[in-house]
Amino acid sequence: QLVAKDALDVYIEHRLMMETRGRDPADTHDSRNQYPSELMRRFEVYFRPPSTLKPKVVRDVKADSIGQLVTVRGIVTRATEVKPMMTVATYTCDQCGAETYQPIASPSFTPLIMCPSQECVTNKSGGRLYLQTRGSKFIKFQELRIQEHSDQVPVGNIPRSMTIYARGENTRVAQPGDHVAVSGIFLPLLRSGFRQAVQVTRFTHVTHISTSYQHTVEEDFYEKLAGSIAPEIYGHEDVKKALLVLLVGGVEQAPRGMKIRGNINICLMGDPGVAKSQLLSYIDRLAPRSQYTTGRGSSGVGLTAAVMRDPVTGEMTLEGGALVLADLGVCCIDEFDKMADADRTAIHEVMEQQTISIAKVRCRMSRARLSALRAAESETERSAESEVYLCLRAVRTRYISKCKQKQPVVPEALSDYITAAYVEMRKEARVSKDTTFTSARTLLSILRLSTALARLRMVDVVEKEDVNEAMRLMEMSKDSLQADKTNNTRAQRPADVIFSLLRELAGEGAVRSVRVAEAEQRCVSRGFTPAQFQAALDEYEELNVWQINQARSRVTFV
Amino acid sequence: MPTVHDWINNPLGIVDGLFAQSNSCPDWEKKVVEYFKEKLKLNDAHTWVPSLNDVPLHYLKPNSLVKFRCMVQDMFDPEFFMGVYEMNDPTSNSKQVKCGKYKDITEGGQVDFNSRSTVTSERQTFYCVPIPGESQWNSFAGTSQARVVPSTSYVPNRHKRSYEEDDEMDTQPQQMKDGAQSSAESHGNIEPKRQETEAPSHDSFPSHCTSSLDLNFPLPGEKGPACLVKVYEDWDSFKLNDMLEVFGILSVDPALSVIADEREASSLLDPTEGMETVEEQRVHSPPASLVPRLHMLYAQPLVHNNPLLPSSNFQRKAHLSSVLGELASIRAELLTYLTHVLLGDSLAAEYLILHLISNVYSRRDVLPLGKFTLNLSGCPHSSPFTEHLYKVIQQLVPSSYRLCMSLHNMNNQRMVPRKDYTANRLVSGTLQLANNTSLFLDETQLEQGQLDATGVRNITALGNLISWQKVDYDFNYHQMEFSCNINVLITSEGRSLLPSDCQVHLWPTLNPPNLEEYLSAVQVAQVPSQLNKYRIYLSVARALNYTISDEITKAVEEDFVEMRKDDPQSMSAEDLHRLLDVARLLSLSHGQNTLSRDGWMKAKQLEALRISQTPQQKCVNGNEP
Repeated sequence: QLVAKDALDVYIEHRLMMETRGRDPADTHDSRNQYPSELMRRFEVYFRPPSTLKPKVVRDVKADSIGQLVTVRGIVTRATEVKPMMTVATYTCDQCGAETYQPIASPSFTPLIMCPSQECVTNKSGGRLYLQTRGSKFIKFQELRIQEHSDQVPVGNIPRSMTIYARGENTRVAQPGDHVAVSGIFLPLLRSGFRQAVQVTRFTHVTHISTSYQHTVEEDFYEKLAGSIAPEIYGHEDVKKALLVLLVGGVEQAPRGMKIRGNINICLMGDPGVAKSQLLSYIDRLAPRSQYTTGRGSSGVGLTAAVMRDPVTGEMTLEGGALVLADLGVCCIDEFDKMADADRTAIHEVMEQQTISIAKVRCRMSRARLSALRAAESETERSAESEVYLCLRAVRTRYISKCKQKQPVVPEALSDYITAAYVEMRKEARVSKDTTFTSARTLLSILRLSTALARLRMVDVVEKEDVNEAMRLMEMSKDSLQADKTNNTRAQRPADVIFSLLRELAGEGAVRSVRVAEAEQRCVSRGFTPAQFQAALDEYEELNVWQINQARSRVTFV
Repeated sequence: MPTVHDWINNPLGIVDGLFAQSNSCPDWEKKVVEYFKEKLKLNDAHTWVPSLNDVPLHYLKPNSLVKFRCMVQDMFDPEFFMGVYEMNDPTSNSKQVKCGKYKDITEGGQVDFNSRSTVTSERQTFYCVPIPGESQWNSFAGTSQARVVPSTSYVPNRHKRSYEEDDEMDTQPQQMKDGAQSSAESHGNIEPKRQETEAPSHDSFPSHCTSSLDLNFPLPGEKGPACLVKVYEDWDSFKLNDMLEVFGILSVDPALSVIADEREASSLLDPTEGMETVEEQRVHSPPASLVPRLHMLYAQPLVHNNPLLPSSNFQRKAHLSSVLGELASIRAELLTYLTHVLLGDSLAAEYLILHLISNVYSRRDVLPLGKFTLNLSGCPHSSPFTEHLYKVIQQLVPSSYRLCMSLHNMNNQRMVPRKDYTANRLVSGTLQLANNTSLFLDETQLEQGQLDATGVRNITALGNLISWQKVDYDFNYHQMEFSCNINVLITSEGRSLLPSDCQVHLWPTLNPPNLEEYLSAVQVAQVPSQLNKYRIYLSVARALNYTISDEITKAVEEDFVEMRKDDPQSMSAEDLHRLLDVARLLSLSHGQNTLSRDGWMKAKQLEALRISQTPQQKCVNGNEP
């Protein structure tokens, strides 16, 4: 009946058979010759704290918690390798062959030497015991060190830490840098020495570790996530959204060997002091792998890689620069405009082709897979390959790496919609005096952005709303550029713009009406949120400029 | 008389005595603290207590009361100890309940770990170092004060100490009763052993041990005892980098070092020890002969570390009125002195005084108020001038540090403290300084070259320190902001590359043929009593309170509007801010707690003069606001 058998199963089975066969019920065995229950067990028991229990801060775990079940929150600062820990030592006697068992509950133990079996004791044969590794039971064991979160530390204090002993399935759950909530029994560890010292350090036996990270996708998850990027910086919602998208990245495609990059490059532009650098450094901290550098301090060589001659062997070696170090990550380059022209070209290659060439030795680094995030102060530094000309962003590293595992595709059905939208954009670009340029690049950008947005929602298929949001971001990026030139005219309220859009859409007929769904689509693609659209609808209805039918599906101008 | 000083020589006897009464009086712990507080309050009782800062460790009696003027450099994790434990006495086969507070090691006999009367308590360990950059005159003054102490409180030679021990043994039986007695005996037992081993070990240790054991002083080249201070009460009230005067029981039992050694040797064998790294053990249980343990009975936070001034608030008030009388004359003398030092530039001397008495008195959001970073430009490149200027400042302020901003220093020095997770401690850096330290940045030492990543980080840290009076300590996974209160003075040739609140250009009117000789002569001319007056003056002026009346606020407001009317470019909000700072410091330097109309006008004149003398520079390095 038993299928999957490993050594332990075989041992358990054998031992059970031995017990039923050779055991005389009247026979009183030495307790050490009986099978300890740990040896016959395949399950582990853990406690999960009630979800209502609020985790404590490390500094609140005091002497009165000794011996109690506590739940603490913290960041893992150290994790040892997972080592085997003996829970039952099994010995065999070299004289009588009897097995002896020694359950071990403490961190250290004294091995048994003399065989305690009936036979050896009565015969005084002096059987010696040998430790039998395969018959012993080991469990996984790991030691962690957690430290308080910085927000739990009172001003002017050093964060406290605590040692955690994890056993069995609780091992390998957390890595340094992870935020965890640990439940366990809080016990002091006695220190003793030449004389009895009365010092004791603190540690906790874990019964449960959970990494504090939720997969739930909430309603306004996208907004919240974007808002959590550099929360200390007010506003800049669209910039933050753009940065969020950068962290996730689009899907890379390689049809027939041709590589189409999925990484999103962003150039943040703005007046001095609008938190460009702060956003950059925030991203630097947030991205799982990132490299921060400033344009003024780095040459093309430093950014890409340097060829160095080894002084001893005369060998040429490659020294990774910021961009190489940021492979598969984000490279944040501050003060991009202050960089020398020659060096800037090195970065263009990386951003465009995602490769790094080192001309000096005619070798080519295989691939550079990174997004470049740049901050520059003047508009002249605008480069054609940056999708979004805006300024800012960030998110939970964990979520982002999860998101990156998704490979969303654009369904056939959406291609028509995207094509139509692109044609529309081209048409508009031709009429407006816009200095930006709408080309096939823009289309690629929109695709990249929409796949990234789909990744963010953790779905496998790109939906219409992703495309809309991508177009909205592009539109906002363009608007943010135009604002520079048109800021002498009065800024129009979103409601007013929506009104004029609708009027245009309604045409010049006798009965001027327009479908709400159609109108909303148009507005959203122009960079307005559905909420703004609804607000505008209500506002103008109140003014009696238009009427909306009962089902709210059609707007008719009065 | 020895009985008078029993609380200094044998504080544990008093603790045990009070503990013995714990049945009748449950809050004996409070009583212990109260007892020592009362004793220290008496007259100048606290000056009788020998100080770890001045007296070499091997002259101090173990388990006696000592004081230590220090800065909290690191805070370790709390540890548990047996507050009360029961012991089996093998000789009489009886059980005894003992107190484990203020001790590192249990005494004699076998501890009964399963006893029901065991109480586990918690205490906090701080790693304390002497206040970084403390000037020589400061510790000297401290010693001279301690010399007033009756010689019985500490004994500077070994012969005399053993005499006193006999003395102490004689008095103990009368002093202590029942339980406490055996503690005295065991105490006596280990004593001779300690004497034999300690003296040579102290001689040989520093030479070979300093290399393996980093005592983690913030500034390079610092000496002095570092100390593990065990805190029993109210440890949340202490902050990192606080200056404290700790009164506590000295514990240098060699057994503590034995534990450390044994653990190192056995760490491979014992699985429990494998979980604490060797580095961690070394840092957290260093040999007691190098890093003594101090069990805190009472600690006084220090507002300043000027020994010429009384440290408690109450006494300072009385002191203040006596100083205020002479204030004007001292200020004039100091101004003349500094003018001589600054080669005859009285304006620079005036600003230097303002700088020396500046103090962050409050923080509004992130903005520190009251800081006054001075950039003294026009200092000659590679000349002994800055070095001598620093010496002069060192003579005037209680603690200071000169940071030569040479490329090598910038690229190699650790300025920002960093958490070392392997050893589980905060590795100190140059910028971990106590409040009111004068930091002298010598930019004239800077030469051309490449700043590497460390250099860039260091420059950023210095900039943050100057602009926000905070240092972001590096905790690897995140940074933590620690606010500080450090007076930064930058000397440079041109305008400094670091931000500053105020730039004064030096215009020498004297041109001595031999600069070095001249500067030394100026310094030598000051008699110590004169210097002491300056020191007191600076510390007093710094601590004065300051208010602006509504009436003056209004006048200033109108004045500002008036000035903007003429030329909006001439007066920005920052200029007003600086002007208010100058006015505040100017008033304080004259001993006035409020701004007067006259003071405001003077500040305006001073600023106008300074601006007219500052060479106009184009924006060159982007550090301009």
